[in-house]
Amino acid sequence: MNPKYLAKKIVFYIGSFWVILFINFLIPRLMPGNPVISIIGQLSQYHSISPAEVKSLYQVFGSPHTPIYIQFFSFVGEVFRGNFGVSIDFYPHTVLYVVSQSITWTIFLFGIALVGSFFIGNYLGSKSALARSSLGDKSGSVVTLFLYSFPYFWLALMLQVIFALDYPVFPALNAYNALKYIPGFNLGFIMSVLKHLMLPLLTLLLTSYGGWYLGMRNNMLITLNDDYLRYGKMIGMKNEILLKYARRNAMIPNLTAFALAIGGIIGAGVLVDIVFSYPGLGFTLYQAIVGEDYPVIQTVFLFIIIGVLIANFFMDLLYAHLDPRITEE
Amino acid sequence: MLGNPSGSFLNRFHINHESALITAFKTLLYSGYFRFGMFVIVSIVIFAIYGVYFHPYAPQRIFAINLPPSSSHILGTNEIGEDIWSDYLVSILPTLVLALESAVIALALSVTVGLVAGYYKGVFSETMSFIINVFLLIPGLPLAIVISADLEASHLNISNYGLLLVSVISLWAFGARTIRGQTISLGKRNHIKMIQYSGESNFNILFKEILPSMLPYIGYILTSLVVGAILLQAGLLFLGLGNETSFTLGSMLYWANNYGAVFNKEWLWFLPPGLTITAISIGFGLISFGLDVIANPSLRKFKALTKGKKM
Repeated sequence: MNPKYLAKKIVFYIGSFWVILFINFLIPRLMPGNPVISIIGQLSQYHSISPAEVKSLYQVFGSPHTPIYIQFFSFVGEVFRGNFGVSIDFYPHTVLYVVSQSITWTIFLFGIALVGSFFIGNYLGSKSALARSSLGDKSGSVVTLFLYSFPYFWLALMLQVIFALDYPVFPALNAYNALKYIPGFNLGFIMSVLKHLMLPLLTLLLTSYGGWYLGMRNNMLITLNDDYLRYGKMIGMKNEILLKYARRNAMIPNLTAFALAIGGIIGAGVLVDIVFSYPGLGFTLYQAIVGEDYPVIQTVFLFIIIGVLIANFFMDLLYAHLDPRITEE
Repeated sequence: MLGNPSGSFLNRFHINHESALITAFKTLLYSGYFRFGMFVIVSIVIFAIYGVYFHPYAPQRIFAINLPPSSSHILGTNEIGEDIWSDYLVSILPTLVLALESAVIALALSVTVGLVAGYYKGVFSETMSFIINVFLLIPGLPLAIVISADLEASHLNISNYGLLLVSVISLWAFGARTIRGQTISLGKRNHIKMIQYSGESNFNILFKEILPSMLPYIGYILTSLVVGAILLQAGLLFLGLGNETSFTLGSMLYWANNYGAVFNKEWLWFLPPGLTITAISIGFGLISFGLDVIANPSLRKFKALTKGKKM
């Protein structure tokens, strides 16, 4: 790989990381008044507040008595030490502990959904482009557009009502049956996890394959007009071989849409987690919102963005590997 | 006298945007997606306006709870005792207006940033491009959730403007990227170069040449932003972030979900708002799909590689 391109990408992602860190630092501090005092006032109606909790709230919202640049330095220091304070709802557990409980489930669910929707969308999109203007293409596009514009949480609710309440094929809530199985490498637990995965995964696949589908359909239509394909056709190359080339070339520009797709699937995933009480980052975020656990809210947000950054960095490397032309600008 | 280049000479490099637009619009009308999307949206808008004026009861008037549908309560009453039909009717228009407002403001921001970042060269526009790219990386819904949650913490009473603000912040980068890319490619065209050499001001080139030729793109971005805004706002309201007491379809869903309407199968309470949000989103989605075909002509003309052969 072109070292200059690699260096450029690394610089971009390190720069983005700092900007995102800064945004994460800035948003709570832009709020007027002193949110910490009002949060403490509200929470102390229900339970006592320890000094550690107060300290981690000030770590999020900033203390009005410390200059802003000193706050930023200490914020960065704490982030690099992995110290995000203590959780308000799960005191005395630390924020890192609370977040780490849910991160595996998120990687599991989002990973499968992301890869699955990529392949389903690209496959169906290229099929649709080849059969352009046929009944299959038209109905495929309409159904895809329909699902693509569906509110995620609404689809999740509908699937939950139909497949978990009316016809109880799949369980409605949680990631596994905690009453029956202990997490570990045994068949019962794995089957339970897979069963509970079905509805959240189905929701994510249905709402997120559309972007790939429409992108692939467009790219394929453009690629099919390319001269090399016409030439290949003229000299009598087999259709299957030509289509293999066309498909590969059409898929490449689609990879650039990964940033948007990851963002979309995370947005959908947060709501899907909540509807199905799936114990991923989205559900943790929701619990934290309900319980006004601001240290957890900020940390989940930071983790989500860092995950997106890392995923995009690897996608850029993959893209450069597949299409070396872009590294030679 | 040499003077400035004669008008007639330069005019050859100006594109007649009006006739191009008329052609584009005619092509648009042939698109079934566009027509159907327009039909859906116009019907919903008419229905929404009807709803604001002709709802049978004041939306927060309390009746007996859980009444079945009858002639006096078309969809019955909910667990709070409100007439669901009235509640639903008054909620449609504010939902539409809020999404449209957010989309228009986000569009204005993304057009400005996109044009500047794409047309000018130098540190400033490089910085703009960098900011666009960073914001593209930040997932919209989590960003919106965090900002809304922080707004709630500070007990700011800004009603729906909070939702508008967070929607704009999370959505603008998508449009800015498209506009920027398009501006870069147009800036390299010969007719734009020619106008630049003639000494036309950059402002005029940007707003009289480049911007009008991007109108189909802008329509596409606007409609996509409306879809994004309506889904984002419904999601946030459903989570209870934002002003749940406002009359919007999202907050209707929030209350329905909060009272367990889904698990109790009170269909009449949560089906109408959900279906309406879906219909609005699909309507705008179809319009944007139709506009995309105008913006990318290669999607229109097509000589099939395997014409007549089924693959």
